[in-house]
Amino acid sequence: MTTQSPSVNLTLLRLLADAQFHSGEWLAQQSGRTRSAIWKQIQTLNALPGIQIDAVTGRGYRLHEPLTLLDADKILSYLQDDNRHRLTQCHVLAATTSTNAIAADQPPDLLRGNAWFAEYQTAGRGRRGRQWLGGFAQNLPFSLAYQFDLPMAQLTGLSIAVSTVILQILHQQGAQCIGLKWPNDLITENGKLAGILVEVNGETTGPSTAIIGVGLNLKADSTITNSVDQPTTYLQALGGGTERNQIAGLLLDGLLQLCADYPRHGLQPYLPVWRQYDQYRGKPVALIGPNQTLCGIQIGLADDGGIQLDIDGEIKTYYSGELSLRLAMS
Amino acid sequence: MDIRKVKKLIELLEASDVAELEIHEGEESVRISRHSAVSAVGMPVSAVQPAAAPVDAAPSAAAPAYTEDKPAIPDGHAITSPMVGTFYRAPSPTSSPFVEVGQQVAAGDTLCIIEAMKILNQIESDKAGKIKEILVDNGKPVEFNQPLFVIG
Repeated sequence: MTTQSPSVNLTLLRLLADAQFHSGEWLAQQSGRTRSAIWKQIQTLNALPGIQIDAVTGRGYRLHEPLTLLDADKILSYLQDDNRHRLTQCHVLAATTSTNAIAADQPPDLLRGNAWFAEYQTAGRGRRGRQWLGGFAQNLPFSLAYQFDLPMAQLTGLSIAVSTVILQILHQQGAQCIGLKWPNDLITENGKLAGILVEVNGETTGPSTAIIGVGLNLKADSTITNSVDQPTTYLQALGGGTERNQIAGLLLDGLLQLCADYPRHGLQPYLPVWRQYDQYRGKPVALIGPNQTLCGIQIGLADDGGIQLDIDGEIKTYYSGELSLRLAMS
Repeated sequence: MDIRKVKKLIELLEASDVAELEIHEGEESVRISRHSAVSAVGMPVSAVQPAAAPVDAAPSAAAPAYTEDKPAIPDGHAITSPMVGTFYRAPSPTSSPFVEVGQQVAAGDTLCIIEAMKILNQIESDKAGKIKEILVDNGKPVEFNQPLFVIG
């Protein structure tokens, strides 16, 4: 169930995860490597963003802070039976370019109910190639590939439904003050908490395969705030649980349930909750497209998932563009 | 027509905002419409239905689809947009386009991405042939059913 990138020694990191001192000799014994190999690998791990390993003569190596590493079996333990059956496999990767890219590279038969989680993404994908970064084992990037017996055009509300499901699960875990920004960002007053990117392919008449990519910030991490062009926040700051395997399992369970429900009910059941948490309703916004920017008042979410804007008294629905809040002065 | 197919069509209709669906298969045809005005209430005049299935739906007011105002479309097989969104010719701003005019494509090759509500929909060719024309500029909005490519 576990694949790992050869460049990151997860076994060694697991031995160190408790943030206690461990001698080089013990680490070598436990992982079946030589002490000099351990020393080299410690250097590699130390270079990962968010990882700091102290070396103290006579005591050994110690992680500066304890780590919770992802574990496929633990993640699966949070799945309800029905949803467990909807999933073919749960893959945990050490480091990867992006879980969506890994999923997209798989043969079609691996795109039915497969999930990829990663400790670290080097090239997390935002919309249209924007980067999404994070520290090692600090966050939760994952992708779920699922095949729908629906034409592509029937899946257009999926991203909105996904954001609604994730919001509800995080609320159930005690997180406070999370809102939504059209179409699918989870935000707070302090910045972005999670982003979602869905990629769909298939014949236009169906079936269609969706790769649902989620990036959720769990812990405060200087590498994120320094490298992303917008303010970010994290689950820990909102009072939500941050045990990564539990959050991973609950989110995967919720998304598998959504994938099962969506063909029958579509977007409709998710609309009331989305609207309840819409942070931009009634506010002046700009909708920025690749070639034009529209300014107006955001009226709300249309039943088909589009965003309604009042532009000079005329209300229209839009389906594309980056929404941002416009300050009254600008 | 297979009753299971009809059942599936009803489910499709229920899961969407489409008011009416008409399908022709050889000599058989079926039209399914819903009488409730759920989707019509509160919808602005210009609301387009991205959920409309890419079958030849009965022309209805619910989907003010693309009207051909470009008479210069060359003969050939047109690939149309299955939804409202933004047309992208490349997977990211820094990568090269999926296809160029004159290029040979196979059925199943990705031709473009239509982005709608942060979903990147990879549009595949449903026919093998040569790209005769690309009808939309990168980054431009497209309407439901708007021709994107002509394949000859």
